Order: sequence, then C-alpha cells, then structure tokens
Amino acid sequence: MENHHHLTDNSFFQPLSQFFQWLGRGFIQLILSMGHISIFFGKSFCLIFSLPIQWSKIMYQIYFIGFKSIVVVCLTAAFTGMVLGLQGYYTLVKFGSEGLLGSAVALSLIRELGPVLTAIMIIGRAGSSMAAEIGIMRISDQIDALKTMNINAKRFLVSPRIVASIASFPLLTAIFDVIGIAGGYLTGVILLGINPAIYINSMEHSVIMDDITGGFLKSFVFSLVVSTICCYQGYYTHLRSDGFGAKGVSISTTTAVVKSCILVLIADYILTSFLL
Amino acid sequence: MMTSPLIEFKYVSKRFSSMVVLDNINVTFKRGTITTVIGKSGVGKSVLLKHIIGLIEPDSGDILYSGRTIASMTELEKITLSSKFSYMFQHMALFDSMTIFENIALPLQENKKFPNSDIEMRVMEKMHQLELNDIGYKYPSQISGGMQKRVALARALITDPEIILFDEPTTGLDPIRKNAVFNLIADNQKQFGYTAIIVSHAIPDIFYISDQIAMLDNARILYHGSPEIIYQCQKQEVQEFIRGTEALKNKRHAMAVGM
Repeated sequence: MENHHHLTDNSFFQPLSQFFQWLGRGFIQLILSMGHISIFFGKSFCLIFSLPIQWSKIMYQIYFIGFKSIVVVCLTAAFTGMVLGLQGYYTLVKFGSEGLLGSAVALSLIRELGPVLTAIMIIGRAGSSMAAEIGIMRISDQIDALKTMNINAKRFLVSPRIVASIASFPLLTAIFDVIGIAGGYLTGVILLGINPAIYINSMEHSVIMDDITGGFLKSFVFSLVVSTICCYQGYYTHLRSDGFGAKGVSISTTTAVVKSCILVLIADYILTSFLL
Repeated sequence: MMTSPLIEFKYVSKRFSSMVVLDNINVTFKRGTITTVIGKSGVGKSVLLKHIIGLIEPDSGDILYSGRTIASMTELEKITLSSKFSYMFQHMALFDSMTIFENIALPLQENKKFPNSDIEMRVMEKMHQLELNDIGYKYPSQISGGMQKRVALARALITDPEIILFDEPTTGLDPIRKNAVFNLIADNQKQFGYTAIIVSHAIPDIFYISDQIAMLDNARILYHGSPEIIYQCQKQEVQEFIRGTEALKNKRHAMAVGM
C-alpha cells in the first residue's frame, strides 16, 4: 500500500519537477545570453572611439543602412499616413471632430508609428543583411583571418554598423514622420475635404517638442537594439547548436529579424511608459 | 642559423566532443627554420596550427613562445605576439566583398604602419612575385582556385612577419606553380629569416625546403626530425605515409609487367 502511494506521488511530482527544471534552465539561459549580448555591445561600443576613427567604413554603412532604406521607409510612411488619415477621419467624423485629424495623425506618427515602423523596415532591409554578411564571414574563416592579421573583428565589423545605425535611425524616423503626415494630409484634406488650415493648425497646437524628442529617443534606443542583435547573431553563427554552415547563417538571420522586432516592441512599451 | 626553440608544445591535449585530436603532444618549432607537419587528412594538423596562433585553446598543456607560456601573457603581450604571426588558411579565407588588391593590402592598411603610397608599392611587388598582375581589381569569386591560393599567400607574406603558418599552401596548384610557391617560401625564408610552419601533403617536394618534419598520427607526434632521415624511420605508419605514392607507382609497374 505504501509502495503504491510512493509511486503515485512520484508520478505526480516528476512532471512538475521537470517543468520547473525546464523553466529554470530557460531562465538561466536567458540571463546568460543577455549578459553575453551586453558584453558584446559594450566592447563594440567602446571600440567606436578607438583611434583612428573608421570614417570610411562608417560612411559606407550609413549609405547602406540609411540612404538605401529611404525608398522603403518613404513608401511605408506614405501609406501608413494615408491609412491613418482614412481611419482617423471616419472615426472622428462620428463625433464631429474631424478637425482633429491633423493632430491624431501627427501624434500617432511622431510618438509611436514613426520610430517603430522605421525600425521594423530597417530590420527587414539592413538588419537581416548585417546578420547574414557577418555570419557568412564567420563560417568561411574570414573573422578568424581578421584575428590572425591582428585586426579586432568587433571594431572592424560591428562598431561601424552601430555608429551608422545611431546616425540613420533618427534621420529615417524624421523622414517617416514628415512623409506620413503628408500622406494623412493627402487623404484627409485632398480626398476627404477637410480644411487644410484646420489640419495644419490642429497639428501645430497638439504636437509639442517633448513628442518629437521622445520619438527620437525611441529611434536612438532601437538603433542600438537592432544593430547589436543583428551583428551578434551573425558574429556567433558558429556557436549555434541548431544549424551549421549555410543553414546556420539562415537560422541566424531569421533569429536576428525576429528577436530585433520583438525587442523593438518591448523597448517601445517600456520607453512609452516612462515618457508619458 | 639560430636554432633555439621558438614555439614549444608541452603535453598539449585537445578533444572535440568524444574525438581526441591532440593527445599530450610535445613538439618544438625552432627559430628561423622551416618545419613541415605531415599526416593523413583529418588527423588534426590544422588544429595544431590554430593552437599556435590562438584560434583554438588547448584543453590541457602549455604552448610556449620563446620559453614563455602564451596563456600567462597579458592581453597587450598577446596582441604584440600576434602581430609577429601570419597565417595562410587552408580554404584561403579571402574577403569576398573586397578586391584582390584590397585583400592583400588589408593587414597593412589596418595596422597603419606605412603610408598609402608604400602600401601600394609593396602590394604590387608581392602581386608581381606571385604572378598576380592585372587582377588587382577583381573579386575572389572572379578568379580561379589556384589564383585564390596565391592571393592568400601574398596576404600572408605582405607584412614580413616573424612566423608564418601555412595551411596546405599548394593544394590545388599545378606542379609548376606548386614548386614556384615552395621556392618563394624558401627564398623568402632565407632572405628574411622567418620561422615557417607548413602543413602539407606535397611529399616528397616539401622535404626539399624543410629543415624539420613532424608527423602527426592518431593524435600523437609519430616522427620529428630532419627530412633526410625520415626514410630511415622504422615506424610502419611513417613509411606507409611517405611511400604512399611510391607504392602506387610500384603497383602500376607490376600490373604493366604482368600484362
């Protein structure tokens, strides 16, 4: 009888104990990888200031991450602004407040949609490319070759991408905001007939400097998150246990995009709760 | 010629999962000499080279440079030490987004020891020595495997390092170019006095330029000595390995006679 009880107890506690073991292992792994990423970022960030400053590499990365993303950011911004104009108009008109459309569009874009959507578009266009390029360099011994030439691989590969992201994200966010507001103007004023002076006036009265600063602060934080995560995933492709070679690079690239997007949204929530 | 030990392996062991690659290895590489590491494919020759340059850390044992344990050196000392090394990778490891010229010039440009005009002159000279003229503007994917090998060699030699590690520098080259590369390594070594450690399968050609031969087999050093006396070594594995092509030649001859 006692034996029977003993077995019953074990069969009850074993899955529970396994679940907590799995949870604990996952949590420890999370803390370890966060520490690893923080050290990776810290080292790469400090190396930005090691002399001589790598101007040519930084300029190339600004061209690649920033300039080459302008078209995709403009397109996204225009249609986001137009949709906001449409949705905002049909919601506000029910309350007779369509005059506030300019304010609604501008605040949504400057505070939230501008920084977040810009970051997500850059992740898709440049972040994936950062992870893939560095990942391929890793699996083809090119990063080891840098080490044998006494070249610091983090300084050579990661630091210029962090600087370029810091420079590009806020500028692209600003472009997104302006084009988005113009998109909202197009649908609200030109297509749906709101008075242009009211659209502009409501925007002028509601948007304050703190909104703009907050938007730029978000895009600055997103630039650090995206460049670090994408470079990190590529840099440590060879340590993956779930894929080697070309498959490893493809998993690293996917992981970089997914994790960057999730972390941008988490960071957005945290920053918004502090800024409001 | 100075022959004091420059690099020493003392009881170095390395395993990857359950596979033992180096098992209590003891071997010395003398200053100003050419040592060739031979052995069957996949026996761990490249792993041994990567230990020297610090790309792989040993599980146990010590690697000494000029009598000092590398592991006990400070970070600054390690950086100074690594600036004395050059490494030619088995699979070249050329930067595929850079031109051939940029690939060869990179170690000089990044370490900022020379003005740009000097860098260009040195790169052009090295390209000329290795018959790489007129391809400076091309990318690695646009040239043949043999050319890529010579580009990797040019990049390894460009900094005039004290120690050069060559991982199969002639694989994929035709016999004429293979001998040209061996001559270049030997001539440069005589001229600049660097220490060369070569991993090669080019037997017996490699013996003509080597001062020492080390044979790695079953995670251990089976033979370490001069190339002249390796043929007298009594160990069966050594004889089988170095006379591999000879055995094939004899078999062909016997078959021809039999016919």
